[in-house]
Amino acid sequence: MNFARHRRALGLGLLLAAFMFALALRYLVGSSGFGEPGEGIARYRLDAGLAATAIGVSLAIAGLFLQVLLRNPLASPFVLGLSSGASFGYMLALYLASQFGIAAGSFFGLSGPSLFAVGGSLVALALVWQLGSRRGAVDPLGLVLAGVIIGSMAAAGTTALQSLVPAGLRGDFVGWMMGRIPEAPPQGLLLIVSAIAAAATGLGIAIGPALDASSLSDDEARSVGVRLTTVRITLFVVSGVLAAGTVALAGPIAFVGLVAPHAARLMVGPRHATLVLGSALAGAAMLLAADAIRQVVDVGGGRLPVGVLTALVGGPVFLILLRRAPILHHGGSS
Amino acid sequence: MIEARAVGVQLGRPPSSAPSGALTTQRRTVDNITSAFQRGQVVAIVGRNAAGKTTLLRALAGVIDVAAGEVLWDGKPLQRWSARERARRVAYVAQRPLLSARFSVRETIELGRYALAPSDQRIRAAIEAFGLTEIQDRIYHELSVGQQQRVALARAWAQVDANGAILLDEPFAAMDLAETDRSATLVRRFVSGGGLAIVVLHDLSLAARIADAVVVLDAGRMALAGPIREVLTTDFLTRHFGVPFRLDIDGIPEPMVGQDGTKQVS
Repeated sequence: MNFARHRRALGLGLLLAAFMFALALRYLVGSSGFGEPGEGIARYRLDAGLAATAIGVSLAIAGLFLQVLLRNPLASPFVLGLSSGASFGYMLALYLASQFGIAAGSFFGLSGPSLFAVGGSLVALALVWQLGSRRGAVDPLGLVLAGVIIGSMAAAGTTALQSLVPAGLRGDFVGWMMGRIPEAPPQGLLLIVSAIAAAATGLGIAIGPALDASSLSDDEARSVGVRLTTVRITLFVVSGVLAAGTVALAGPIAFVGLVAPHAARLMVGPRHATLVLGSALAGAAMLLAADAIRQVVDVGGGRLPVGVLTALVGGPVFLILLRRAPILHHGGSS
Repeated sequence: MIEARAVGVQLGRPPSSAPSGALTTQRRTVDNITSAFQRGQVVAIVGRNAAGKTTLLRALAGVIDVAAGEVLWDGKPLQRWSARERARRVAYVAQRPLLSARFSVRETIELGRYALAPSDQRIRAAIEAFGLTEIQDRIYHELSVGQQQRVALARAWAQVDANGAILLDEPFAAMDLAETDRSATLVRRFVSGGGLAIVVLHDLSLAARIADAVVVLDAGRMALAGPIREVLTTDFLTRHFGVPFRLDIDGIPEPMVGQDGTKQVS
């Protein structure tokens, strides 16, 4: 239909404009205020902009993939216990460092705790996969349930460890847990995360028709020719890698993975090839804008972590979307 | 065209957890089904609740694995056909057609062409045949369940070749009479054109009206199979379903439900 095609093109155009605007905004806004950055500062702003873009894209694509995989519009990278696992890993590293003086080193530009966080998120994902799939077949509901349980257990472990470390370290943990876009990210890591984000976007566009057909019931999707198990394993692994990359760079950042795909769906419609690109643009725009706002909002005790802004701004936006648009897919009238 | 050879399917237990010789028949949802389904026929699969009708249909459609025996399409084990060849040979429509993305009617029907060459003409023909022209731009989820069933049939229509097979699980269950009439007529027309339709049906009167042959399942096994008029006698039906049947004026068996068990068998 021409109408649908025009709508997709218009939506993509708007999202692209929003992304460009947010990128420019982030470049022009710094702790020193609004304006063209000087020689020394420009590099940091560019790096932060690239990092926010890569992280926003990664979170949005991971969220979209998981929403397709789990047939659940409320899925996000962290519903599978990933952020709880990451937090537990981070806290464990702080504990080990404070008690035994180990796990304090750094590797590949990453601090020990960040490395443990990535490890924790991957271990949580592996456990969830193991518990939530049967005979190699992925059971969407099983995955969600396993994710909730593993997440709760990891959160309990994190709380237990928090009471064991010196009080000063708790602040470090809390700051990390809200997520922050690094202004001087390790260059190798930034490159890897950016490359993964770009590759995942390309992959998502390429398998868009398969994602469309996966919207049918499992049996019907197989009947029209979708290799459903392959598609599901791909979605799970790719979203896990994407989310782990963002944890390494920025810590767990809430809401972008949940909201960006929904915002994109409203703009470009349900076709996945377009939706993947739209989600990537929406995620990047959201995180860039949040990080730019963060630069100018001083709450007295310093600047807000970006995770607070994405939740504070993203939450209400999501609720408005939820009330205005039929985001929940299921049901039909009789 | 579709042939089941000693097919057994087991649901809910991993086949790897027991050696294949140790499978007990009690645990099989369907067991030892051998039957051939030929083009040019509507074949009804009937039986009581939990008799294994849906499971057999899914096995024939190749959307679940069989634990024993094999399913052949056009003489070849179905796994040996490529995804594309499978898609154009057999289409499956589930009892409750679910969709987890907000596609329009037209977009939903287009999913039938996923593994095949896009064909505007096939899509348009399916939309017109099932009377969906007026609502083709509406969102699938905003339709009634009966309309959704029509969309699912149209999707299968756009998918298979004229001499392929459509495997339908209670396709008319939520349709009103006019919708049922239109859809059942199209299914008949499809088999007249050289196709095969295998349809799970609860409504035995409807089965008797639209099917040429019938397979009766009982507790996962084949109780009886053959031409519909020979199999669905009032005697057999009364015994099998535990409800009295009589013939209506067209000679179609009709269940006498809600009659408090009084013998009204004619």
